[in-house]
Amino acid sequence: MRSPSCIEWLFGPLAFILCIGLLILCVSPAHAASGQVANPAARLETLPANAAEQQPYPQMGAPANPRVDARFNAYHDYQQATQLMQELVRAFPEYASLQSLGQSYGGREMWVLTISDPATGPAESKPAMWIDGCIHANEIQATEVVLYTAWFLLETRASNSFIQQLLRERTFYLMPIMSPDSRDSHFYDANTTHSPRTGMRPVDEDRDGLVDEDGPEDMDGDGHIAQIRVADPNGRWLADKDYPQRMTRAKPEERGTHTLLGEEGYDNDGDGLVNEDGPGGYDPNRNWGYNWQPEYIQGGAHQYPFSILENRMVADFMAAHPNIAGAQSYHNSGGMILHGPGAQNTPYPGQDDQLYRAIAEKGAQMLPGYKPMVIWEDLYTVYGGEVDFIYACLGAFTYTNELFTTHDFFHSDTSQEDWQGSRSEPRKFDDLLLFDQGFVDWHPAEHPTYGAIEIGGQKKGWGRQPPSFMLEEECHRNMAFSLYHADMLPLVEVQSVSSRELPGGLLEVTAVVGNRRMIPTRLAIDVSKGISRPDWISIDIAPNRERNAAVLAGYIGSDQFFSTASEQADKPWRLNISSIPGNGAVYCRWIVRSGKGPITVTVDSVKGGRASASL
Amino acid sequence: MKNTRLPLLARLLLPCLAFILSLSSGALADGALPGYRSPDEINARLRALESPGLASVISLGRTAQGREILCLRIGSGDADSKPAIAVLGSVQAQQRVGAELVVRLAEGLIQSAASDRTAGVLAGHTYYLIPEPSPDAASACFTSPLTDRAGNSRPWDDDKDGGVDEDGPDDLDGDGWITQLRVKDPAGRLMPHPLDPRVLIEADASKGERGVYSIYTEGLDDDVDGSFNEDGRGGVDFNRNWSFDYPAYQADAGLNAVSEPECRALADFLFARSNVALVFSFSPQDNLSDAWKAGQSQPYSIMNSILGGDAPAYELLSKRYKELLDPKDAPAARGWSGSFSAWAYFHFGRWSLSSAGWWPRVPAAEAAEVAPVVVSDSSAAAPVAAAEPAPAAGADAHSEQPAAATSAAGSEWDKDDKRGDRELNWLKWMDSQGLEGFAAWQPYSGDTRKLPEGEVEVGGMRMLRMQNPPAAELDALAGSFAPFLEALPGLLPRLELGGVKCEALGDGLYRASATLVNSGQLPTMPQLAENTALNNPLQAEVLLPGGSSLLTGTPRRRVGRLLPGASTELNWLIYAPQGGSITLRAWSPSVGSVEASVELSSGGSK
Repeated sequence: MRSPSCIEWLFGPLAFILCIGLLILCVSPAHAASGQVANPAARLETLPANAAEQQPYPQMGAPANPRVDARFNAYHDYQQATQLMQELVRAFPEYASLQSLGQSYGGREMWVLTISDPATGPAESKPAMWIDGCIHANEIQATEVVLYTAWFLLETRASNSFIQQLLRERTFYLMPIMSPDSRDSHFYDANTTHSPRTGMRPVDEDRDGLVDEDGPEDMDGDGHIAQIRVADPNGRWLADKDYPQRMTRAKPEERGTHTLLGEEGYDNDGDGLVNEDGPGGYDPNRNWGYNWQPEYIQGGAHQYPFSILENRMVADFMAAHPNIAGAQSYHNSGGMILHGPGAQNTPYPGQDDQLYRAIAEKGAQMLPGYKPMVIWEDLYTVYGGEVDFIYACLGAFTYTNELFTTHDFFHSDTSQEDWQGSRSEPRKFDDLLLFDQGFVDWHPAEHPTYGAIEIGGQKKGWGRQPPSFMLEEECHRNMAFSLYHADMLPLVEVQSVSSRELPGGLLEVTAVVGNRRMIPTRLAIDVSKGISRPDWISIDIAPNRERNAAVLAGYIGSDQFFSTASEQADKPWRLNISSIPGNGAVYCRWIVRSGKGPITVTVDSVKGGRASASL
Repeated sequence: MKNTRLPLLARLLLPCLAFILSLSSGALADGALPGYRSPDEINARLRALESPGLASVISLGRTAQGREILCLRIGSGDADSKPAIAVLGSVQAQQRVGAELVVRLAEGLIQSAASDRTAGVLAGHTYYLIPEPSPDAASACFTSPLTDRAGNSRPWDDDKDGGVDEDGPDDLDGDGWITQLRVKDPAGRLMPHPLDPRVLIEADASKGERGVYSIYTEGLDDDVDGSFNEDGRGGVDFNRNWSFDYPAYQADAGLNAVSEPECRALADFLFARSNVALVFSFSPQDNLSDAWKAGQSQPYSIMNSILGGDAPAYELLSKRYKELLDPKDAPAARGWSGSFSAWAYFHFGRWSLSSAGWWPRVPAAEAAEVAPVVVSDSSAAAPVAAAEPAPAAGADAHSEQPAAATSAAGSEWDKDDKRGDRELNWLKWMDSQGLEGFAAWQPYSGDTRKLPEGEVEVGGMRMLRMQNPPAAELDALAGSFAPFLEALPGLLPRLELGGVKCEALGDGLYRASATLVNSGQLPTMPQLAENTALNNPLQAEVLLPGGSSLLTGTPRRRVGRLLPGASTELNWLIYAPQGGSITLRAWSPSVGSVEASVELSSGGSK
């Protein structure tokens, strides 16, 4: 047993050291901004020798000694998420900046956090990875993965060479909350684990001229929209034998004990229907501008592509940042690594599809229990989904992950009865690991239409969201997949520039221009539909004004031997390259009048970055 | 090359001329379509038409260039709660006739508002008139050089070369118009029409014909990339930007459907008005001369034809149209990909009607016996209708016409051969009106790097003029459309409550019943909109006296689609020991409402 004096003895110097540290942080912003304070080694120098043993244990994963204290075993509401992002920008002003794309219907900011290393050029000059979460606001852990990614990138950049290099080569655009109004609604209004999926713009869902007039009511005021049941000897439902809180359907040969009457709520408008027109009434992820179909084909589509203004802000931002080469959108649940197409009528080109499968397979290794899937083929048809728009209209390589898998319950893949796993598994998990936290016990209440009823069932925080102790792992593993994805985005380089003098004095200049990563500079759909311009590989012969006259011809070789070649007669000094293949190269050659100055070859790819080399 | 001095002079003078012309674009516009109003003038006229209690201006929003999109609402009383007809003008911006007609239709309604007829129409219905839905594109029709482009001002890299709007057409001959370049080309596929050399048609090798020309839009290859005028200013075409059968990836269609501010403004305006029952537009997607037909399309799926249940309504509407307007010579409907009028039915769920508004009508005699026309290339405005067959092409300037191209003399022309018919009719009509619809071919030489190889001539059709009648015809034209537009409200569905009664079953128990009938000529909504989010279904409601209760059903319920003449029974069992009266009400915003009250004691209708 330790004595109080012992604690005081330990606490005194520690507090002193912390004060000194804080003082340094406060009085020396330049020092703080340089990133050295967060570096454990740097801090060591400021510590008395006997305090060396107080260094936090060099744990793997999250930094033990971050500049910004953040917890990822708890969920952030809109305000807390905003604060975390603002703190990150304050702590890492050089590497992070925060902007709002506009205000949501409910007046909340649409935050985008940009993270990159400015030493290698402005953010918009580098191939970029877009990551978003919570377009479906009830899918709350999606926000946490994006926040964790921001925090991890910034906090570990100084100590981890992979992250350092990633931020030198890439830009990250992070949007943790795509539907901020509804996130707060999920946190602070009574809801189920499934609500609200919609945004908060009013929609007259039952087309009776009254808008949002009949949503659910939290009859017992416990913050959850649970179920209503009524005891009924002719009912077809009964309590589960093992987990009596759960109702199961009576077998044909069985007699039931109850009738289920749906979610808590009243028939507010007297039309015989309960809870048929609640807040909102659309699906923000069916409202995007590719292969959009109306409500009667695609539920939730709303009125027209981007009639939901929050989506339009995001799409406008993405269109204005064509350097976005990859994207990830986080959802829940089911443990899926999804890629398009969302519908059968718009197949993806074979090369792109192969690439999607390859990178998703890598993800499946990082994410036990997650399955690579094609949206329409393996899940369901989605018209007007975000993933399709980013890929097919903007030409960026895009996944959606459905976070939280049944595998998480008991680390087994045996139960796959539905998207929540076995029907009894969540209940068993609740029983064994959550100590009955997940369910509202059935309790009596009065209903104006139904009379004496009982309310009970699943709570809003259980079903699709991991419990606190699983959240951080979910965040880290999914981030790792997105960072792998970001690392595989195209990255151009001029591998070599060489020359040979031709008899008669002309010079033949040959350049090998490569892509050091797996994803091509332009995806097959980009090339076939002309989404972005071709990559440009240009030759500059100083002084510049002589270039056009000095470059007599330019052509692209079929291989490094120039076995065959295709000439570009128009503007030969700037060759149009349809795409530089993943882990491959293109071969360019120019015939020039040799000049006095240096010869420089530059590759300029919309999604693969810029690079140059001189002869 | 001979005459090298002339092109040099021209090269020096033309930019100056173009500059002078651009300074006086108003005057030039007047020369293009004299008597037509610019979008700003159309808006000013709409504002001048405002009249308290009858006509009010609603602003839908602004375009990228800041022009306001205006609607003139004509109606009486609580106009926004009455079933309404939306009327769109220049959906195809360069068809200026649409805007002019809609303004005149507004003027007509306002002038006759006091008449019994119009007052009767406005008592029950409202018109939303939107003459200029795409004003940025429209304003380009008044700016030199004149072209018939439909795109708005959005910068767009049409050819995906990284440059934006870097190679548009150029007014090479300085006449203020963008017409065409005709180039003598051994690989050309076009030849002059034997009946009128101004018209170029595809040569048919199987008939022993050989092409002699290639055609380009008038202009230089400004960026010297081998393509001509492939990336001009703008833009997205309002009538290609809608979400039904959206032509994704086409250069004139935008990044995605409904991407343009003017389309969004109109969609928002319409979605906010559930009382709109029918949309009429002037556009090339004519479905009144020839009604939309049903195909294999099934409800709640991606469709390529209207639904079978809606075909009778479109037939009826087309029949009424043709009783009032002669569809003779109407151009075939243009494809509906991304069009506004297809959207209004398929994705807005309303009856959508469209007429081209105007087209050249060739006098019957002329159309029947086509006579060859000889036109001197230097005096296109003075065509000569020759009775004798004449050399078909190259009457003066081009003496070296390949024999094959001229082999089919006018008299031998096969009347079933439809090649060039549309242009022939247009030119015939132009000539009959004395209009300069055709710029004579003139040799042109300039920067050879930026021109097609070969002998280049500038000339050809002035397309803008081909799509719009002389302004003098507009009043009469509007007069011919007015009766149809004023007849439409009479065809819309109408609700009646028949057989309203209340049986007393004793001791305060009553059975109230009524028959709800659609006595109009159209269904209460298209089949397409049935059970969708697009259209509000009929509602039936009973209002009970105090101290009473409803024993069957709910106070309010939904009623399914009613075909013309069809009816549905409404009944309620009511317990009202203190008696009193009940009111039955049925309504939908796009159909109207009807109500009746019954005394519970007497059982009769009030």
